[in-house]
Amino acid sequence: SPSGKSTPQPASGKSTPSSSDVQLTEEAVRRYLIRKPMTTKDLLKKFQTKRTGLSSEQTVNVLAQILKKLNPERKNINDKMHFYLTE
Amino acid sequence: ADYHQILRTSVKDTSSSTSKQVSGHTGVIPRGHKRKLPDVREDDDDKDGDLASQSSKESNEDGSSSEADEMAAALEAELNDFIFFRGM
Repeated sequence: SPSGKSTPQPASGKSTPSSSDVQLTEEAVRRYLIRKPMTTKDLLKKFQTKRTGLSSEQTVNVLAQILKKLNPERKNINDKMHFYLTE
Repeated sequence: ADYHQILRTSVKDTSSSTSKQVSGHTGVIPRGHKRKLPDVREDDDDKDGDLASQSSKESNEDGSSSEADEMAAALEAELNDFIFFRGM
């Protein structure tokens, strides 16, 4: 059996930070922005480095690329720029 | 005759007590029900109202919020051209 190769994942392992926990993808960002307007900070909170396994630099870069691509609507709420998407 | 009786009763005693023990043992097997009650929240994490709970969770961890600030600033700087572009 492949005991040496497969990653050992305890069934109840809550504290194991698996890289598949949260993924910073265009689809994920789109889902959030369709749901409600969010600031960049809100988005960063959704894709915390410890949950995605990316570095903060990677996170910023990838998120910037995704936002540019998605080209979301913007509006100010409480003096803060929020992005949102409509379907 | 007395000795015999004593002997017999004592023997009876031990035998009955052991049998009691055995039956008692088998009667009290701990059942494993009622185990997972407070575990349902994990799924909620991604639902709509989670922003408040997330930020409150975050305030428990020192330093992470300032890092988030930095990242947000970097991201906004990154997006600035794009934002201005769209405005025009």
